[in-house]
Amino acid sequence: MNSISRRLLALLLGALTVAALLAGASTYLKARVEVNELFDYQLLQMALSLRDQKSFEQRPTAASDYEKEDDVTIQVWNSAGALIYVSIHDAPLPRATHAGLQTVIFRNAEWRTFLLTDQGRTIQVSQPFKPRQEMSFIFALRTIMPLFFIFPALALTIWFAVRYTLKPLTKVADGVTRLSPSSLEPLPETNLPAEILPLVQRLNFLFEQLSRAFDIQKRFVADAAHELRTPLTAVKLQVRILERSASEDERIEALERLRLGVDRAARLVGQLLALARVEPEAPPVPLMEVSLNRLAEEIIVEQTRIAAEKGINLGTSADGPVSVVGEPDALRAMISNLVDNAIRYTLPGGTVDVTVRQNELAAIIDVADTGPGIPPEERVRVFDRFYRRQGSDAAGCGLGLAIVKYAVKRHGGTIMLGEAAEGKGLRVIIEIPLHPFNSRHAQGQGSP
Amino acid sequence: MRLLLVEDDPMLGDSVQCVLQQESFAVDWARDGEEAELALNAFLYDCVLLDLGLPGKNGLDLLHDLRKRKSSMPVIILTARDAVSDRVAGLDSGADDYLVKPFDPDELTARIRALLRRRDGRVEPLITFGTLTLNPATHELYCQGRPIRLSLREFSLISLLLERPGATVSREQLEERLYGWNEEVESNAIGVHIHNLRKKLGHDLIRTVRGVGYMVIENP
Ligand SMILES: Nc1ncnc2c1ncn2[C@@H]1O[C@H](COP(=O)(O)OP(=O)(O)O)[C@@H](O)[C@H]1O
Ligand SMILES: [Mg+2]
Repeated sequence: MNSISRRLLALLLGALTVAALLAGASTYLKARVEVNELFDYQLLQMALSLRDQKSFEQRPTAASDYEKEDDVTIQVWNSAGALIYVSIHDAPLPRATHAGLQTVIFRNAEWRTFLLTDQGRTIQVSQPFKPRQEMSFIFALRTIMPLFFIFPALALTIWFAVRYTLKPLTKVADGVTRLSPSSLEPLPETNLPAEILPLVQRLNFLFEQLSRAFDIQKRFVADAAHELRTPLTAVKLQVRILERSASEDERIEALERLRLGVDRAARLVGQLLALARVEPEAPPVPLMEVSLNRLAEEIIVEQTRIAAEKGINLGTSADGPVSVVGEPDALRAMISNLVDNAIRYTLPGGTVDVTVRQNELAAIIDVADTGPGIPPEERVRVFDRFYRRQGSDAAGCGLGLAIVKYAVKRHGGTIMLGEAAEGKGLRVIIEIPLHPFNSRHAQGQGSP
Repeated sequence: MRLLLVEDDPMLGDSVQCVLQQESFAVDWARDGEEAELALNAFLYDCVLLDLGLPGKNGLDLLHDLRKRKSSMPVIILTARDAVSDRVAGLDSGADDYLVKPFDPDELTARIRALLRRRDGRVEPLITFGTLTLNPATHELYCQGRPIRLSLREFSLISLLLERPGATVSREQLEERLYGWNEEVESNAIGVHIHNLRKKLGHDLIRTVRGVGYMVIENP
């Protein structure tokens, strides 16, 4: 199972076991040295006490205790070298080569012997190593035994400690579980350990972006669905008119009607998309250096034919190149919607002038026409989405100035609506700051 | 059949008017609430097609006022709002029917005819009179099972007369219900249509009530 608490538990208990074993081993080694000294001393004492014994006809009292307890074997030789006493009859150990302590091998086992010569008698006390090892082992075991009893308690403690430390993480996980794409509430960022806080902050940031994108999408779909109803109804009816038209003239007229209806629906879709891209919630796009005078020229070239067909004099003037750093598509949509409006609302024979210039702080785009203009009391409302003034021509959908407003806002600029020359027509003046980095997020500044 | 269309969108208004005219309805088109109010006060329409989002006076207010005046003029709401609550609000304020854009032209005319049928207390879609059978949906007229070719105007005229057999309908009434605002009516247009109808259907069907107008009676 891949769980942090289990991993921690296995790791900690494993380390603890190793530590216990090491402690046991070192105790064992130390104990062996001490036990050796102790037993050797015992052997010495035993030999000394036997030295004082007069005769070995009888079993020495002191010896019997030792024999029983610790497998001690006592051997006594007389001055002639004959074995006069041995405590284990069937297995007499060989006589040690010299006096004092010695380790010998007897019957495949290590023995410790002590040899002492006194008044012609030689006394040898021997003992196998086994009891010494057993004793050392018991010592070692006694040291680590308590540790093994502590283990379950320790495991439990670790378990709880891990659960407790991971609680903030579990809480975050629970919080995330409760989210759904339609309700991406930010997770609480208070009381979080330093290790988890960055994760939650990052998650919240992503959630925010996601729900923004989601909102734009939803609104776009809703707007598109609602706003397309009218042109689509018109198109349906226009198709029927075409089907029912009896004469060639009627047919031509019906076709023209239908063409206008389809154009309108297509234009609406284009404007909705443009709006979705420049809305405040729309994600920022990479900034580029955009030449405004060249952009204005391009747009005018595109719209010249329409202007000429309507008998409108469309032109531009720029004193030198003017560039800003910004979003190219937004800037294009901005100028093109202004020029489009100016051409549509100006009567045949009128003039539309697009001027691009700059001062120390800002690039200035100035679009003036000789149309009916917009009365001062309407100059705020015309920027609303889908707002159209009464009597506006059929081709529009009320999104043009909303797109302009948002595009300007994205660049931290300002818009001003006023009258063109002699109080006639509309004049739109847009200022886009030349240094966008100070104002990229200077929202609200651009709102008219 | 004379209808009032209340619609602020120029393109949609134009298309609806044109389609209905092709279906031989006379259509007056009001582009805002005030204009619609004037028209409603001035004339008794066979049916009103009402858009809700209007500049000037709101469509629902218009409907409220109409019903307050105890007018039972059939009203069909044409709107882009399709939420159930909107439909309920529309029908509760006195609309007879509710059509959501984008609607089909056939559905629109079918609903208009259904409303007119209901208003006239007819259940079956065909109008029969003596040996005549008239299908308002297809603009076909059968005489003893034989189809008879009629122009749109002639068809509207005979339908009007067959609405209330035995009753006299004045020439002015006929003109009003056959022609919209912007249609020029020549002084004896009705007379010409009556003449043509008689040629096709026999002279006895439509009687002239001298100085008053016309009526249809069953052949003795
Ligand atoms: N150059 C202009 N001259 C006169 N009126 C204008 C001009 N530009 C815009 N308007 C008015 O502002 C309203 C909103 O404009 P806009 O948002 O571009 O929508 P649309 O042009 O699609 O109707 C228009 O309905 C129109 O009445
Ligand atoms: Mg409307």
